Amino acid sequence: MGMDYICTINYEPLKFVRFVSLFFIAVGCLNEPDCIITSTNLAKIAFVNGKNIREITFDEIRVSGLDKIYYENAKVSSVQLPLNPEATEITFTFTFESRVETLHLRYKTSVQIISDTCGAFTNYGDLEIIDTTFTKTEIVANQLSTNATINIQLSVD
Amino acid sequence: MQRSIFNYLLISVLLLGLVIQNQAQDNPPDSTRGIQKPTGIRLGTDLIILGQTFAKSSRSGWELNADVDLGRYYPTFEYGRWIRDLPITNGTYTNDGRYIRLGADINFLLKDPDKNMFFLGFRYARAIFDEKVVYDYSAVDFGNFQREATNNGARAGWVELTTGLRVKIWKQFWMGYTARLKFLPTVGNNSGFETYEIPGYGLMYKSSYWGFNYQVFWRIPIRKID
Repeated sequence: MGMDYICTINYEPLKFVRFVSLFFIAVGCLNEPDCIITSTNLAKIAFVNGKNIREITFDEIRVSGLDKIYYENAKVSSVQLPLNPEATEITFTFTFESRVETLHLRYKTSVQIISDTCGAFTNYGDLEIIDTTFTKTEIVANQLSTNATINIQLSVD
Repeated sequence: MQRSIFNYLLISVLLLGLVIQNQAQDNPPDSTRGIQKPTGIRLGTDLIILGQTFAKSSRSGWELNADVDLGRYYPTFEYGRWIRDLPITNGTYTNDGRYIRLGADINFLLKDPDKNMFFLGFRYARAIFDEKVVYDYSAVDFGNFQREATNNGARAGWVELTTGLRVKIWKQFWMGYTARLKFLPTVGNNSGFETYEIPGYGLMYKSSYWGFNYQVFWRIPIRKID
């Protein structure tokens, strides 16, 4: 009875119903999240001299708030150093070639839930240099990510 | 790619609306098409969210619906509460909020004496909510933490296209369903914690969302149907 009635009215509503149903189903199936986790607390720092990569043999690198010594007697052109999730500023102290240089960073943390099965993660962003003894610095990517090749570039003569 | 499909479908629906409008203009004038004095107010609720509440699902709440007939046009008001208590892999997520939707439905069953409806419509919705996540987190060299983040008094908005049926079952008792295509979610007030879910909408990361209500109504007559 109801369906007969629908068929007698204007605008061919059955076509309408089919179209609208298809539209809703098609759009409703879009946008499933990917569980790709790129969150990290490691800042990637590269050293250059002009446009050339600069290899440095570090005596040590220290991170404020940690007793650990990083890159002791290591010859590298880039380093990865951790940011503290419970703070918004951190200082790195680089000792090399009879020099001591410092890099003081500020950053913000944010929380993101990717999905209930992926869980919640802390992201680090808005990275900025608020003080340094290096003569030339550049923020290449202000968001920490496992995908980012370099976050900060430091010039060393 | 997904956005292109969505835009294509959205444009298709809008074009279809224009075609229908043109057809309507070609037809002779019909008193059932214009705005008329209301004959009754229909008050209802959504059975699905009530069922989830009684089944102790991770989502609970309630929703109230009201509409009034102005001829074929039905201005609609909806108000609901949405509570989420969701375990996630490394913690728990909770959300407690309220939402309203304002809009109108257009009935395409013009000659039904009982005013049964097959309708298309739209809504503009707003939500206000408090959300919180507590999770375990491991940071290189700084160790393991249990972190907590909250968004209190967060606000969100979105729009909906709706379609569905309303059928008179017995006297003033009505049943029906509403299918909703929700899209264009926007959120404010979330510093440091990206909103995960919007009450009344769903997961924030979905730029469009599908919703469904199975509803019962009680109609309060104001005057006799012509």
